[in-house]
Amino acid sequence: VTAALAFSSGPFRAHGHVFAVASEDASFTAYVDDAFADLRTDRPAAATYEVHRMPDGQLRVLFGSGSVGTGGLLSDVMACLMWHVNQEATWTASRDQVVLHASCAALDGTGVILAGPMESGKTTTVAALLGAGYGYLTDEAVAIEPETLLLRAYPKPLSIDPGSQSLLAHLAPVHEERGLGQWLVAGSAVGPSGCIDAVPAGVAIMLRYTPGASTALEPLSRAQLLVELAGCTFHFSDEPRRNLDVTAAMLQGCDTYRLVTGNLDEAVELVTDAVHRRNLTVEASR
Amino acid sequence: VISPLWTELSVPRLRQDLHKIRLDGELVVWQPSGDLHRFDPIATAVVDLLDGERTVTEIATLLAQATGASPTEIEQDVLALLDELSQLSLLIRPGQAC
Repeated sequence: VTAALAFSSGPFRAHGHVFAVASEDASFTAYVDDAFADLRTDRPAAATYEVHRMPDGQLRVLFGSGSVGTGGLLSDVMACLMWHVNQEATWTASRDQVVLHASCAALDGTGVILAGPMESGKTTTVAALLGAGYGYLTDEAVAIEPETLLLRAYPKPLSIDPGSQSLLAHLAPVHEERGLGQWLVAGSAVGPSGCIDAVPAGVAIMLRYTPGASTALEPLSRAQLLVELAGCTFHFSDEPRRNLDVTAAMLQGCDTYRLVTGNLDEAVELVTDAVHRRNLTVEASR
Repeated sequence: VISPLWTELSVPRLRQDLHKIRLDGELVVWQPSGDLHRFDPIATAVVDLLDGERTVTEIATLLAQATGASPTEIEQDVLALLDELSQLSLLIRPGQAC
């Protein structure tokens, strides 16, 4: 790998991971600029990803002394980069915060956590909420600040897998090359409300996607959700007691549910009703 | 069900190294092996009395007074729960030092 890297993008901040991206390929850094727009920061980058075109035409992403991944398609290489950024983001944030594998959006000052395992609909549901006017925090990893219990954003681009693309066809990238494989779409480009840096949690939901199922939002006990969120906490075993205590304290201020999603529009309606109910309860208690 | 390990005269006690969190009357217990358990409000009421000082009979009597249920039936339920907790390694076994 000897080619000079003429183009650069960044710096970007992903929780505690501040990085830049350099490439000899202008189309790659242009894609990074667009996709990572919501992660831009004024802080100096502590590390740089280098993207090189190999003699066989493949693109390779290097970080430090190691290879993050190689691919022929722009989307494959971006997916490798995104994966590594996610790893670093969750690792850095987990040192002093509780980081849930969850998407998160906010409406009227109320944070909505959508947790669940892979393929449970975190990105698809949050994309639909953004379209309905919610502000964006993340589709992957929301951090709970132990001192304030505020939810801290990680506004990475939404990673829209091929299986969800028919539901979110309006988000298809204009550039044909970016439309192959997984789409990466900046959250601020998805809805009218942009990004939110921090918000108190008000509604916490465990997602379950069941094709063909009736959409339902069912109350879930806080204790049951705590147990399930422990399984969705990055690096849980590093600080199990802290992670449980902070998550439990955060849940004390939340209405808690399980959402079985069959129809996306109905899911958005049910979640929005839950947010309004929550806000009315909070208002009444003042 | 008569427990082979626990009897009416046993004095059950929860392990000391558990991390316990209460939410809305339910109890979440984390143990150092990494396992997490959730107890509903009824099981939580029993677990709260496993202090290493009360016998199973005394625990059942207290719960019977609180609920109005039969002490004999509650005693059997407590013994069944103790078996379950033992299998989860949440109790100090009779004769165990800590």
